[in-house]
Amino acid sequence: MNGEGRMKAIRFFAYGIELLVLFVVQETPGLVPAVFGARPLLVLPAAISIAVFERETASMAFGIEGGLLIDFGFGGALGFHALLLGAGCYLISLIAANLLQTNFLTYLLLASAAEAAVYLLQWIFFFVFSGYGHAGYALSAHYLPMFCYTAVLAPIFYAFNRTLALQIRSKEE
Amino acid sequence: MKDIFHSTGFKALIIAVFALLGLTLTTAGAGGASVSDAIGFLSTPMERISTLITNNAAATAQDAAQSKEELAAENARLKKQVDELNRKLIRYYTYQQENAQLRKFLELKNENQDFKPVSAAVIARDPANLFYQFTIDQGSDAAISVYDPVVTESGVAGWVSSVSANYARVTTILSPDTKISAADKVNREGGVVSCDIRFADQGIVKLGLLSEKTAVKKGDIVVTNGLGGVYPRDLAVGTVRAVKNDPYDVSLYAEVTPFVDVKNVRDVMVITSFQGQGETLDDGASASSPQTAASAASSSGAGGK
Repeated sequence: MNGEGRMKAIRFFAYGIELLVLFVVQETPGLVPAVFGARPLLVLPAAISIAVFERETASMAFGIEGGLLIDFGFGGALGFHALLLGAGCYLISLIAANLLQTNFLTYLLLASAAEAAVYLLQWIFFFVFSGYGHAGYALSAHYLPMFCYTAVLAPIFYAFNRTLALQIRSKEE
Repeated sequence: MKDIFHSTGFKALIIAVFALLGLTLTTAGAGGASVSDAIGFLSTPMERISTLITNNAAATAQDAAQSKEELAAENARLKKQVDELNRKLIRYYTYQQENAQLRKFLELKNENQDFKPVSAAVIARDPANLFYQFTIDQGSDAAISVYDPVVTESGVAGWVSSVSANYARVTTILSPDTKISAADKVNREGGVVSCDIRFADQGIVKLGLLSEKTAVKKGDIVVTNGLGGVYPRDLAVGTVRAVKNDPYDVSLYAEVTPFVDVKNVRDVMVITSFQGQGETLDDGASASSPQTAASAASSSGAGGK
C-alpha cells in the first residue's frame, strides 16, 4: 500500500470509529444534557461533515454507516435512515465538489437542510403515519427543538472532521 | 455533471439504494434480526460501559460540587430524616407483627410466587424516540421475550417490544402503543390506561373508558387487573390526579401519575413468567399485542365493579 492509500485507510478508519463513538455517546442516558426535553442526533451532523470533505462513494459509505447506527438506536426498520443519509451524503459530496465552494457557511447551509429533511421525514414516517395524535404539537415541541439542538452542535463536527481530513492526508491527494 | 451518471460512484449509489430499500422492507416485517444482532453485538457492550462510566461520573461530580454550607445543610437534613425513619421503623415492626398475625389467621398466600423476574439495567435511550423507549442489557439469553412486562419496585414501567440475544427494547407506559387493562384499587372500577404525547410530556397517563357515574376519585390507586394476559394482576400503576370529561364522548377519564418515573429509571425487572401469562394472547388470532389488554378491558365493561 502506497502513502496515499495508507493515509486514506487511516482517515477512513478514524471516521468509522468517530461515528461509532458518537453513536454510543448519543445513546448513553444522561451523558448529553437535554435542552427543552430534546437531545441531539450527533451522528447526523458528523456524517454530513465527512461528506463535505470526502469523495462521493466514501461519503455515501459513511452516510450508510451513520444511518444504520441511527436506525439501530431508533429501534424501527433498519435501512430508513441509512437510505436517507447514504443518498444525502452522496448528494452533499457531489454539491461540495462541483457546485459550491467548501467553507463553513456552505457546510452550515447544507447540514441544516439535510438535518431538517431527516427530522421532517422522521416526523412523517414515524409519527404521522403511526397514527399518533397531536402531530402538530409533536413537530413544534419535539422535532423542532431536536433539529435546533443538532444544528447548533454541527460546527463542532465541521471543525473536527476538517482537521481530520486535512491532517491525515498525503500531499498527492 | 453529465459524467456523474456514468461514474462508478453513481452506480454504487443505485446499488446501495436498492439494497437499503430491501433491508428496510425486510426489517419492517419480522426479518432482519441478524443485522440488528450484529450491530447490537458491537454496540451493546460499549453502551453498557459508557452508561456505567456516566453514572459513576455523575455521582462523583455531584459530591465534589457541594460546598461546606451545602454539606452542613445536607447533614442536618439527613439527621432529621434518620429520626423520622427510626419512628417509621418502629411502626413498621408493629405492622409487620400485625401482618404476620393476619396472614396466619386468614391464610393469605404470597401472591407473587409465580413470578420469574430478571433484573436488568437501562443502557441506552435514543434521542429520537419521543416516548422514552429504552434499551436494557438483558435479552433472549436471559429468557426475556416480547410482551414481557417490565416493572420496578414501585410499579409498572412498560413492556418488552423487541428482543435480541443480549439486549431488549422496552416500550414505556408513556407510549401510545401501551394499553393496560387496569382498575381502581379502592372501588374495583375498571378502565384502560393509555397515553398520548401531551400526557407523556407531563409524565402522566390516562385511565380511560370510565362510566359517567364513576366512583374513581383523586388519590385512588390504580393497579393492573390481569385481563389480557400481558400484565399480572395487582401491579401498581399510579395514583389518580384528577377525573375529567373525555372531549370525544360522554365517558370520563382519570389522569394518573405513574409510580415509576420512566424518564429517568435506571434499573428494572422483567417478569418473564407469571400465572395467566399470554392466556388471552393465545386464545384469539387478533389478540397479539398489549393492545389486547385494552380490548379485554373494554369487552369486560368499563365500569366493572
